[in-house]
Parts: sequence; structure tokens; C-alpha cells
Amino acid sequence: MTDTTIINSTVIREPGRVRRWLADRHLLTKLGAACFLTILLLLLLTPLISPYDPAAQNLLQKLKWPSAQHWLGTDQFGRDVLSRVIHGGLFSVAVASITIILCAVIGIVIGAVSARKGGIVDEMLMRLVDLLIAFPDVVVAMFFIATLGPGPVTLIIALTAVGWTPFARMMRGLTLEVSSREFIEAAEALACSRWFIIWRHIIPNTLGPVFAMAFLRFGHKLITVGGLSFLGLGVQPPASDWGTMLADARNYMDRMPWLVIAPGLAIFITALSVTMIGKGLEFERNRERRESETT
Amino acid sequence: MLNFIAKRFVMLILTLVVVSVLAFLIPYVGDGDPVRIILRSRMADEVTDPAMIAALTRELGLDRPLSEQYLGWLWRVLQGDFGLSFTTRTPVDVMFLHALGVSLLLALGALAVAFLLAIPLGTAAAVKRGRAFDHATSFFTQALVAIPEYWIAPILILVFAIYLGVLPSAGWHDWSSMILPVIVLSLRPLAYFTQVARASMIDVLNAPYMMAARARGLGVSASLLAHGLRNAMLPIMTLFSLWLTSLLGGSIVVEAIFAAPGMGWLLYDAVLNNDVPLIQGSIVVIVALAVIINTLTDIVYVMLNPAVKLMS
Amino acid sequence: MNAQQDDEALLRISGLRVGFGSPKHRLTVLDGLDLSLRKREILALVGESGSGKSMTALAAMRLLPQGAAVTAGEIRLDGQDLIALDDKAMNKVRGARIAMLYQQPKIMLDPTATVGSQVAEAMRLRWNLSRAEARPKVIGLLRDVGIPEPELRAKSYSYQLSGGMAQRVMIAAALSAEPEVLIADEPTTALDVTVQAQILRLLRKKRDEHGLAILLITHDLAIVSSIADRVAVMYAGRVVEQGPAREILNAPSHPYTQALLRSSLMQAKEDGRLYAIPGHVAASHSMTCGCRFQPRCTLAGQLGIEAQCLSDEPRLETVSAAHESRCWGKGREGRVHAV
Ligand SMILES: Nc1ncnc2c1ncn2[C@@H]1O[C@H](COP(=O)(O)OP(=O)(O)OP(=O)(O)O)[C@@H](O)[C@H]1O
Ligand code: SF4
Ligand SMILES: [Mg+2]
Repeated sequence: MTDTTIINSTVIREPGRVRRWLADRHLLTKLGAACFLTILLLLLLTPLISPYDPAAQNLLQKLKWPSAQHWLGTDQFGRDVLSRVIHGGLFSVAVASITIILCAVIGIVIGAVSARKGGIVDEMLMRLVDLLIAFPDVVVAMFFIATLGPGPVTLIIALTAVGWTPFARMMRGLTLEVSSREFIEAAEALACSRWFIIWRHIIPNTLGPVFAMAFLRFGHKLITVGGLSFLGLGVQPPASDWGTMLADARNYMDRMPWLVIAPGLAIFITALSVTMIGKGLEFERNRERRESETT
Repeated sequence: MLNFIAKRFVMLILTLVVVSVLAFLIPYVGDGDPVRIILRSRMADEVTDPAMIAALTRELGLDRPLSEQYLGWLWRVLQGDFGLSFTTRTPVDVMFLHALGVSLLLALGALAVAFLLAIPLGTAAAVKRGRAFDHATSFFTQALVAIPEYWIAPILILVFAIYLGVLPSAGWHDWSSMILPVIVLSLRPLAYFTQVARASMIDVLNAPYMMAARARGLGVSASLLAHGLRNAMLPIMTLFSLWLTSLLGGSIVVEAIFAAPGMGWLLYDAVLNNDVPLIQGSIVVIVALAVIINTLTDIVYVMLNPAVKLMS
Repeated sequence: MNAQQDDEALLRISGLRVGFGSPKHRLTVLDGLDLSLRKREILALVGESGSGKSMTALAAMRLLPQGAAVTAGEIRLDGQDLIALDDKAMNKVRGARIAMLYQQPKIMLDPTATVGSQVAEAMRLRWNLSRAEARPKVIGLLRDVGIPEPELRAKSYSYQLSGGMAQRVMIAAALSAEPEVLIADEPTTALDVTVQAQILRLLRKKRDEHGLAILLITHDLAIVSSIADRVAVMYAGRVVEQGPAREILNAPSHPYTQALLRSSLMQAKEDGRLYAIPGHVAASHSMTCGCRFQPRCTLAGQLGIEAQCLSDEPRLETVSAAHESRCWGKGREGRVHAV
């Protein structure tokens, strides 16, 4: 295992490293990443590329079917649906990204500390995880919304409050596994500090699976955030996102199914692309494992 | 074993205490005067007279230290008394009974659908591991996970209620109003059950005792039925209970879309109307159910699985 | 006596070839294996780790792991070629006519099923018995293999059993449908020495009572000397020497058998494994011609026949009545003091 790590790092310094690195990626990872990067680019470049101002109303043009001017038609206020879809992901994607990063960081730290400290600390933290993991996250979100009021900060706090637990559980397992390898024992023999060992050895060696899980969970967070917006508890008017667009469109959906289909499809594709990245990373890891077992 | 149960039990009680403290504190941290909020939840009629308020405050102990008030509240909650809903003016605990029934029906329906489809699907994928069918199933489950329920639900309503007119679009009348919400709720569990069923089936197919069963003359499918399924079921059981707890209170979006009067909808309504006693009650009930079911599952799992039992 | 000519054989394996992988990247692990097992006989199959003993057993059961396949040869049970049978017919052979025992009895039992139900399985399949009809027979079998309180034990689970008890249960399960052949792949390796002896006695008793033929795979030459009628020594996927147990143990002919005996005498390893012979079996699998033991053979050098050993593969040839060996040096040992 240490050998392959060394080999990998030398490979990365070679000139053809990008191509080599790409060649190692699973097809799902590549497809998902291409898709997700495109979406991110679209979201960030909205002001430059969106054909219309997403908020510009034009009541003469309301509820129009897709046409050459409005590829996805217009909504009940005559706003261009395509522009709104491109624009509308920013809130959900941003909230979900921040949440997932917080969850991962908190989970990594708690999991690693739990595994390295062991004993009563470990026991308490893991029992806490056992119980929190059973909390339905929407209900937790409801609690925070009831006390703090709706909004992005509330959502981030609410979804992080229980979202870190699977990361902690996985990180703890990985840390225990990595800790049993020789180079950690060597570091311990050299009397390296606990934090140094966690930082220099354990975290780098466990990042792969953590990334896989982060991507897999990201889709779920995105859908939850969209759902709370759909219920009117996420993004607050006049701002809007895919969830609120869907909620608004429901009254017109018998006449204008596109209004429902377009923003939902946007969430679906975004969630699917990150899920594919996560699954692809998982497959890569399993493949690596199998290879290291047979050789 | 006893040690394990005791530990889980202590954690369970601790969680319930923490959750109840948080729920109790809702009227104190939100905006609005806690005394008036609490009075509204305890009195059949709105109290406006300042003298009455002062009298009631003393009588109900609302001027006492928070800890004392908490114990009083907890005592009432333990007897099932969560106060009166602001909107309906009826006792909250009565509302829960009906709502829990609805949510339970939906959850069990959805999980049954998911389970019945996932077991054959996961088993087939495990048997055909690495082949086209396996890849297709894997992609199918990934896609299912990525479907927002507030997207598929309107689409299904559009198709089956509006265009075809064969199912009600919303409301809670008879069994036909259950069909669409159950389908929508079953999608994500179906995906996860299938993935877990596949993984545990692969484990089981490679298990030594399966080969021993073959060596005794059982065919592939006979050995799967006799020994494979039960062993593969253990991980799925854990997942089943996790989803049960999640659907009991967490299917807020779906219950709201289909106007199904379950726990999730109740909580959503309560939050929208700032109906404090209902929020407190829903959160305590949902979380209590979640952690109790989860703890029981862990204990049952350990009892069913001899290997785990031996270790603990 | 050659395997092909042995008319009394109940189970006869001839020219068996088993390989892993696709035709292009084939790893051959059994290569022209000949073996015959007679009624009421205990044949010990010995050889180093990796020589193909377990593969032989699994091939005979037609339960080879994924990726492995029989590419040539025959496995005949009472004249019937098992390799030609379809899956359904083979299911009827397993358990009812050939049964198997394994090294790790505890993991071979389903942890979620009772001991009794697993012992009942084969007999219920063979004679179409109901659970209730099988019950008294199961308890009888459990008592017969030396399990105390069989009524209680029938209801217990594998984790409640010791290794020795689990192996007794496996024996009861294997003999449940009264098979003619029992293949036991290192049935005592994982057990304590005293328990080992009990299990071996039990196997011998079964042979004596029912005329069961047992193919006993083992590393342990002490076991061979205590129980086996005949011995077949395997090296790199084929039999290099076979004959009556006493003869093989006292006057081994093949240099490999000699080395095996010597190493087991020198280091009585606890787990019965043999390490003293330099080199590995694995490398020999890749040889395409010549004697597979040649890279590790000292006799060839002493006799000065390396060239022959390298280019041509020796055949199994008679040493004395019923004793065969696969070595060019056969009969020339007198010229050096090999043992
Ligand atoms: N899954 C596999 N893929 C490729 N080769 C395998 C596989 N399983 C076994 N082999 C090879 O088959 C050969 C025979 O293995 P086998 O298990 O029959 O040996 P054995 O004599 O039973 O050894 P042991 O005493 O360790 O049980 C070995 O060289 C081994 O490397
Ligand atoms: S044939 Fe030659 S190499 Fe092979 S065992 Fe005999 S003497 Fe050794
Ligand atoms: Mg073996």
C-alpha cells in the first residue's frame, strides 16, 4: 500500500499526468464530473449568458409554450423560463455545497478523534452518532426554522446538525484501518503528536472515500434544500430557486407542464451528476482494493 | 448483551431529555412573549386582560425558574398533554393519534413496495454481477435517488389525476388516495434497499455455508431460499427501520403535496402557523419514535445475529 | 495398477484438468490428475499447500469456484461420468451419493439456521421427508456422531458449538442421506489434537459400519499413518506417487514424497504444515514440459539425469504391487543414499 502511494505520487509529477489521472477515473466519475462542471459553469456565468433577465416580467408574453425566443417558454408573469432555470440553481447548490463541506469537515474531525482517542471519548461520540443518524433531517430543519426563522443560514445549520454523522462513522472506521498500518506505527514510535499523525497521515489516506461519500450525500442535500424552498421554508421571496419555481408552477401545470418539468429536471440532473461522481469514486476504490489484494 | 442494551437505553433516555429540553425552549427563543404563547397553549379562551395574565402567570408557575417550568411541562408531556393547538384549539395529543395512523399507513405501504421490488432486483443484480443487468440496475438506483419527490409527485398527479383522471390528485379519502403518495415515497427506499440487497446477496453468495448447502444437494435457488435470504435480510432490516423512522415524520414534502394529514404535514402546518404546542409535540413525538425504533432495531439485530451477540 | 484399470473403483478420476481464467490466460491447477477410490477405502490425499488438493475435491463435487473450470478428463462415480451430468442431476448426486467435509466447520454452518435443520437437509431432499419425519433420524444421527443431548443440540446454532462439535454436526449433515463417498478436506486441521483423534475415530467407524469410501485430504502424515489405507501424493496438480499407506510411509519412492516425509519428521509444526522443502509448488504449475519437481529435486543431480528430467515428463509406473511413482530415478535410488 505504501509502495503504491509512492508510485502514484511520482506518476503525478510526470508530464502526461493529467491524461494518466483521467485514464484512472471510472466512466461514471467522468460523465458525472463533466455534467456537474457544466452546471456549475452555467450557474456562475448566468449574468453573462442568460438570454433574458430572469426577473423581468412581461405580462403580454405570459404562459407561452416553448418557442424560438423562449426555448422553455414563459411563466405566469411572462418571465423567460430558461433564464430562470439557469439562474435558479444558485441558492440550492450553494446551500447544499456549504452544508456538505461543513458536514464532511466536522465528521472527519470527530471520526478521527474518536478513533485515535478511543476509550470513553470514542464510546460517547459513537453512541451520539448512532442516535443522531436516526433523526429525520427535515424534522431537524423544521425545529431550526421554528426557532431561527427560515433562510439559508438556518438551513445550513439544520442540515449540518445531523448531516455530519455518517462522515464521522465512516472516518472512524477508516482511521482505525489506516492506524493499523506500519507507517502510523512508525510515526508513533517517533513520538509524533496525535494531531500531527491525524493531519499528516490519516486524513490524506482517507480522503478518497470521504470524497465519494460527500458527492453521494450532496445530491440528497440538494434535494432537501429544494424541498424546503418548495415548501416556502428555504429561499425567501423575491429571490427564488428551483424549488420555489416548482411550487409556483404547480397551479399552471395542467396547461404548462414545462413549468414543472424544467426546474425539476434541473435538480434531477444536478443530483444525478454528483451521485454518479460519488458512485464512480466508490467503484474506483473497490477496484483499487481488489487489485491490491490480488497482487 | 445486557450491558449493550443498558448502554443503548441510557443513550436513548439522554437523547429524549435533550430533545425535550430543546422543544420546551421553543417559545422562549422565538420572537413573541413566552408567557402569552404558553397561556395560549393552556387556556381554552384567549386571555387579554393584564390582571388575568398576571394571575395566571403566578398560578401556572410561569414566573418560576426555567428548570422548574421544564419539569412541569415534561410531567404533562409524559401524561400525553402537549397543550392546545393554536389553530384548531383542540388538544395536540388527539391530533397526533390520527396523523400517526396516516403516516404509518403511508410509510409501511411505501416500504412494502420498495422491499418487494428491491429484493428480487438486488438478488438478480448480485447473481448477474458485473454484467449488463447489474450495471443497468446500479444506474437505475442512482437515478431514483436523484429524483426530487416534489418533482415526480406533480408529474404523477398530472398524468394520473389530471390527464387520465384515474386517481385522486390530493386529499385523504379512500385507499386510492394512498397510491400516488406511496409510489412517490417508495422510490428512494427502493433504490437503497436494492443497493443493500445486492451487496448483502453478494456476500451471502460467497459465504462458505452456501457452498456447504450446495454440497448437501441443494440447487442454486433452493440454497438461496433456505440460507441466503435470511442472512441477506439482516442488513436490510436495519435499513428498513431507518427508513420507517424517516418516513414517519420526515415525509413532509410528499404529505404536503398530496394533502395527506400525517405527522409531516401536521408539523409543516404548525411551523407555517407558528403553532408552538403543535411544533413542540410533533418534534418530541417524531424524534422519540425515531430513536426508540432505532434502538429497538439495534437490539433485535444483535439478538438475531449470533456472531454479533458473541462479541458483545 | 493404474487408475484407468482399477475396476473396483467407486470414484475414479482420470486425466482431470482444471484451470482458472479464459482459454487465453489459463492457469492450470490440475493437470492430468488420476485417482481412484474404492468402496470401504480411506484414501489419503497429501501434498503441500497449493498442490491442488482442494481443487480436486471441489472438482469432484462439481463445485469449483468462479473462474475455474474442468477442461479435460473424467470423474466417474460407479461408472457414471459426473462431468457430463446436467445441474439438476448433479444436485441429486451431491449429498445423496457424494458428501463433503471442510476444514472450518463453524463457518460452513448457516449462522441463522438451526443445526438440526441443516443436518436434515440432505435426507429430506433424497427421500422427500417432512420436517417431522426427519426429526427422529436427525436426532439419531447427532447421537451417533457423539453429540451429547442431541434433542437440545438440534435446536442450537453454530455459534453455540465448539469447533469439534461443529465438525461432528457437519459429519452428521454429510452422512444424512447415506452417501457412498465422503470427501473430507482437512477435516481436523482446525481442531485440537485430542478432538482430532476423536473425529478421525468417528470417520473410521463410519467407514467400518457403512462401507463408506473416504477421500481424506490432509497435510498431516501422522493422520495418514493412523487412518489411511492408501495414500496418493500430489504435486503441482498431479499425483506423483500412490500406494498402500504403510509402503508409502516406510519406503517412499518419489523424491518429493521422501522430502515431504523428512520435513514432517524434522519439524512437527503445530498446524501440520510443511515448510522444509525449498522452493514453491506455484512455480512448478507454469512448467510446460519435464518433471514438475525438477527445480526442487536433489535426486536428479545425484543421479545425473537432469537432462531427461527437464525434457520429459515421467509417467506413473509401478514400483511394486499397487505402488506407483512418477520419477525417472525410480529403481536407481540404490546408487545413492537418498533417504
Ligand atoms: N481463485 C483462484 N484463482 C486462481 N488460482 C487459484 C484460485 N484458488 C486456488 N488457486 C490455485 O490453485 C492451486 C491449487 O489450490 P488448492 O486450494 O487446491 O491447494 P491445496 O492443495 O488445497 O492447498 P492447501 O493445503 O493450502 O489447502 C494453487 O496453486 C492456487 O494458487
Ligand atoms: S523425475 Fe527427475 S526431477 Fe523429477 S523427481 Fe524424479 S529425479 Fe527428480
Ligand atoms: Mg486446500
